[in-house]
Amino acid sequence: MKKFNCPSCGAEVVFNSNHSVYAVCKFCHSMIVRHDLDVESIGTMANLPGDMSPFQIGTEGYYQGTHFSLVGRMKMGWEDGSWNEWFMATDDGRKGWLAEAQGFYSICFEVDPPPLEFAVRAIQSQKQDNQFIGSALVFNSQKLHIVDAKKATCIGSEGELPLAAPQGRMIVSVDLLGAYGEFASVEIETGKLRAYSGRYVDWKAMRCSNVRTFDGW
Amino acid sequence: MVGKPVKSFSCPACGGTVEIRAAGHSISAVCTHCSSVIDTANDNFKIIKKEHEASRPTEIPIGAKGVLDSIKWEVIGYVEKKDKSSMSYWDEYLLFNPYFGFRFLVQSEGHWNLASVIKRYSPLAGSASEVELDREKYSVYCRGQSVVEYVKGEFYWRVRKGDEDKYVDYIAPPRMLTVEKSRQEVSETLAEYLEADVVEKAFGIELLKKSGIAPNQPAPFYGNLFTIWKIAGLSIFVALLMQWSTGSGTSLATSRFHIEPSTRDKTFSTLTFNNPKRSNLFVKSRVPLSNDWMELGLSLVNEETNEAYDALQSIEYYSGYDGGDYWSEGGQVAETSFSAIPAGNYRLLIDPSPGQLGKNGLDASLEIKRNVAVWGNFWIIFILILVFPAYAFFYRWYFENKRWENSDYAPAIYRSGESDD
Repeated sequence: MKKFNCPSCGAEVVFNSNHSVYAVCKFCHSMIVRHDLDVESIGTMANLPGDMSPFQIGTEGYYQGTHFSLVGRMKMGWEDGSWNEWFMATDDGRKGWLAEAQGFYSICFEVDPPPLEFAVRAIQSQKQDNQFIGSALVFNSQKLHIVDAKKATCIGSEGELPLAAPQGRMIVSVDLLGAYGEFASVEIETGKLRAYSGRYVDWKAMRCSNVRTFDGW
Repeated sequence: MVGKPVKSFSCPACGGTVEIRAAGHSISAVCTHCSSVIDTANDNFKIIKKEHEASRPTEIPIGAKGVLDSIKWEVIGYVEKKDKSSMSYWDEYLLFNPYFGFRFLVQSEGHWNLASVIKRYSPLAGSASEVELDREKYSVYCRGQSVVEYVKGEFYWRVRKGDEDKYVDYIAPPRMLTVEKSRQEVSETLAEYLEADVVEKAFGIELLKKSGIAPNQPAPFYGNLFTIWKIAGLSIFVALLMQWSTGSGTSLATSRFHIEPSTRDKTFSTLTFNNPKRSNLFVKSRVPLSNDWMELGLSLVNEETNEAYDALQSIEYYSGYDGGDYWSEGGQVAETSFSAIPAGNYRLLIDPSPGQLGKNGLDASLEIKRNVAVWGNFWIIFILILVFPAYAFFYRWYFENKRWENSDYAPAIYRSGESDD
């Protein structure tokens, strides 16, 4: 854990995860980028639109026996809606994300370095447009099928993240699904390629605590 | 942090207030006042389709909350669909819970299903006639094309009247797997049959009566048929064991008597014997007749009450040679049963009426046994044990026949009554 002072308002900014390089100040909403020794403000983050997400920064849970806590969020928007990507600080130090879309939850970990061949094939299939959905790819010795590809834009972010996520950050994201709920995603940002691998998880299986509450629920 | 569960905005078409219950998820909503469909993916609230009609009531109202599958759900959307070729209609209610996500509550002909989208990729679903999910085989029941007829509430997809989807239903009662193909995606929904009274109780409403048999309605004795037959088999086995252990009964008394011409009309008596418990009594008499007959009048007398049980035994035995072949007719043994004789001390009186009776007379003997296994009783029990399993079996068969009557993909054994058109 590393602590800095917000260059804009002076409040304490905490980086819980060693992977985190970017944070949004809780108080003044400054976007702060962490350098080796210093932090720099790159602008101000607008308020995130309200939603019914059960998660919040500080929500804790378990994935396959490993404890995690959510430390940051990136809200992504696309043509047909939006989804949340929560960055997790895990006890085993892996770079994990909990994605939340249409009431489904998936947990995946960044594959580092990204499996280039796999990613390139995923993107190539995506470019062939119509026919690519359903095409099969083997990844981490799992047979996966491309189910979805979309252009998305960052609507906003909060907390700490392993990448800078200002509003308007654009990506192309290709999702893959296996026969037993295995999940992988390849994400292309100008000049950068990231791959994530994991699976869909049930709400109950995560045994979450410190979740959001809603009146009447 | 406590979230606000309802977000509201003004309808861009009529200005009325529209509420959003699944903020962040819902990307289209129907105005309650004018039925216009509004884009709610962002705060621009563009009109997708303008309408001017009041919304019509649904069996379960939008906003109703109820517990199903031990989870509390709120009804946030309603879609009425019809099948393009069969013109059958059904209702799909969209249920939401901020923690558990979405479910569909589907009503068709008064039958209900609770369904959820599943995130499993099965490449053959939709084309194969059988698919496997969680080690269970699902058989194709119906292929069709659905059309959205009416919408109300809010949705996490872009909803539109007239939207068409190809669908394939696979069944493994009480479950049904539906594969839907739209232009953009393939989705799989797993449904489980719900009894209508569960839905009634959950939402505190009264529903229309169901009719017919639903594709994935659990059959009568669902899951029990095997157990029923196992119990029947065991019962028969136990009955057999009892029969065998009872066996040939317990001997209570034996008696020998000599019948000769001078004592032709004498009545013989056995010694007193005791029947310890209510049971049947068998009297087996053996008279070594040859080409003669005899009748034995039996009277079983209770020594305490003087109650008598009477029976008559006829014994005849003839034999000889006819053209070198030996023949015989009748026998030298007779057996008579007295059923349900109460406990007590008894004597058996024997009154013989002999036929010719040679001058040397005959030595007759008899034995009295109690609690002798009677096979007739066993067969009655056997049939009684089988009545219910047989009923269950045939009713089940009849039900499956009915279920597959509406399908173009009925398995061969249920296709017998089908016409060729």
